[in-house]
Amino acid sequence: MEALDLAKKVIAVNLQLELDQLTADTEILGNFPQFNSLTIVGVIGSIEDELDCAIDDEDITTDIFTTVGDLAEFIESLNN
Amino acid sequence: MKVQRVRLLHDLVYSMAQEKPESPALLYKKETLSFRQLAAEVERFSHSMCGLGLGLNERVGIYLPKQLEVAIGVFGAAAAGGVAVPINPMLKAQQVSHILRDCNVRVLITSPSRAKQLVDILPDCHDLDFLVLTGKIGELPQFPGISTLSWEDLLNTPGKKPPQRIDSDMAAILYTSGSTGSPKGVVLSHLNMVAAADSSSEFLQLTPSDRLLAVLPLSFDYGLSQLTTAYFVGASVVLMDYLLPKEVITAVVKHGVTGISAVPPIWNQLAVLDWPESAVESMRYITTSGGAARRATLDRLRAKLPDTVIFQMYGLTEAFRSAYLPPQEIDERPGSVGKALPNVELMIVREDGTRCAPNEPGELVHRGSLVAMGYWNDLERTAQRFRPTPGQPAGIPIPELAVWSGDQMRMDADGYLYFESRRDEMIKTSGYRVSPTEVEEVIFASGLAAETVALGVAHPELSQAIVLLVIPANPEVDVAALLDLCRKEMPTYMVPEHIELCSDLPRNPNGKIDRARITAQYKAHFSEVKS
Repeated sequence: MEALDLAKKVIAVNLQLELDQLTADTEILGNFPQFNSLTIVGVIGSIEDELDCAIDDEDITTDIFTTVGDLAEFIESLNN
Repeated sequence: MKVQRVRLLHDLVYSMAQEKPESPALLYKKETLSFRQLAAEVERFSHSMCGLGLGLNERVGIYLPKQLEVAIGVFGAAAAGGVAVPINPMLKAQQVSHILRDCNVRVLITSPSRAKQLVDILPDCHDLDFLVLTGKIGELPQFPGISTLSWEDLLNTPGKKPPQRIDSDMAAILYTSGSTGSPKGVVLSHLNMVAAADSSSEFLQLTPSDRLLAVLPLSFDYGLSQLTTAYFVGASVVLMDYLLPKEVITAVVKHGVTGISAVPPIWNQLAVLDWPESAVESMRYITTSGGAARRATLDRLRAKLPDTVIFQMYGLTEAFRSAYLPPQEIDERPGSVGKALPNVELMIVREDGTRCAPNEPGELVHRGSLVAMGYWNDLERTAQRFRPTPGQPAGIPIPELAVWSGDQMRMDADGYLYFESRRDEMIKTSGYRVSPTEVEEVIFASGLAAETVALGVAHPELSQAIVLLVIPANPEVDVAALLDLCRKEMPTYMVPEHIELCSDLPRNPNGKIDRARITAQYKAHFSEVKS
């Protein structure tokens, strides 16, 4: 799966949103009232499950949740 | 805007713009506003609001994550002769709708993407005339009867001079949830907020060189007082939405933060992190409020931040803030939530309204200039909480209203308060009264739990039985270990009837454990188990 598609999917699932509401430019931080520290844990868990990898806590910052595109970039960086 | 004396909410900003125009006032991401710049923004916003036609005492809702516009909007709405209604950014459309309708919000300030999430509810907000968006309006639909404009459009509206206000006028409405009914809007006057800022900055010994990291929502009295208290002395405030605990420490290091206020669940998370040397050096004080702080957390914080003083605080939105425990008393009076703030009187009264003797439990009553103006448009619930002050001399014909907190406390001979429980949270089990905090403290002190909550749940034999929910501190912790601990450390009547491990506990939008919601979930637990 492309990183952007995966980013959309994990955000849609964890924030209870429709996939077609999301684009690379969709802001996450500060935008959705349901986005909180537990969502971060949920999203990271979903990415780990999908990619079958372990993400280091050190690499997780709120910046990667600025937009869906930023999350996709973060996912991309995991593949490298 | 010339200010001789600070009497009004916005005077806090205007007076500092005269005294320390170039000192930093507000920091957010890469931006910094000096007091001069912040005052200019607030003044321009207020003039534009008046130009738009905001009437005296009309409500301005602000539904945004923490960013510069929230602070400008809060002070600016008050400066315009209106009333600021900061809305917690974690609330969802239905709850926002309740607030907008309940206090007849006329102007709502939000972001374009948040407005999109409100499209279904906005048409029902009967008094909403203006939607101000911080960003491009874009593809948002037009709502009949509502003018949509951007923040820039607003500021380009021909301005009008705001009306004169006095300190008994209303300045803000803060919504607070109780154990029953829909959230209530606590009406705060300019006097309430300025007096609280005066009183809090005094005991915190704030100076202009202090820098506060505002992690709490500004829709919460304790959160909003981060701004007002800082500006009373000309200290600066860094805005941050709390998401990842480690980023608090990053911000402390980056900005040289000297003070943080937070609720116990946040401190529980921050206390287990590593605080680098530069953070240890810059941090002068912390405050904790919104429920009893865990002893183990306080001990951890003191070990990690040896030069940082810890103030425990207690407050009710209905009286803005009430009590604080001076740092040196933490060891002298363990478990105390403190004594009255400067210029506040707190008393403990019996059911019949007479005063309790020292150490006799009763209801906490708060009197003084922090007592709010009541719940907006809610006579009935206002009459329950705002009642005549006990012991007023009979010769005074007009009763002074005090806030009857609903919290059961006792006061020692020196005026220090000890929390017994919220009246509706006290657990009555097999003839004993048990405070949930007592149970939680034992669990927490053991180190087995990262977080825990104890509840009283209706039980056929015991009247109520104790249910204990635990987020385990590590994967090895199981129910058997917790039960062993309880049996070892607690009297039999206090040992939970049911213990459950969970990965998470519901929180309210201020980050506190949502006891009412958990209680509702477990209401039928023992009747279901039996059948």
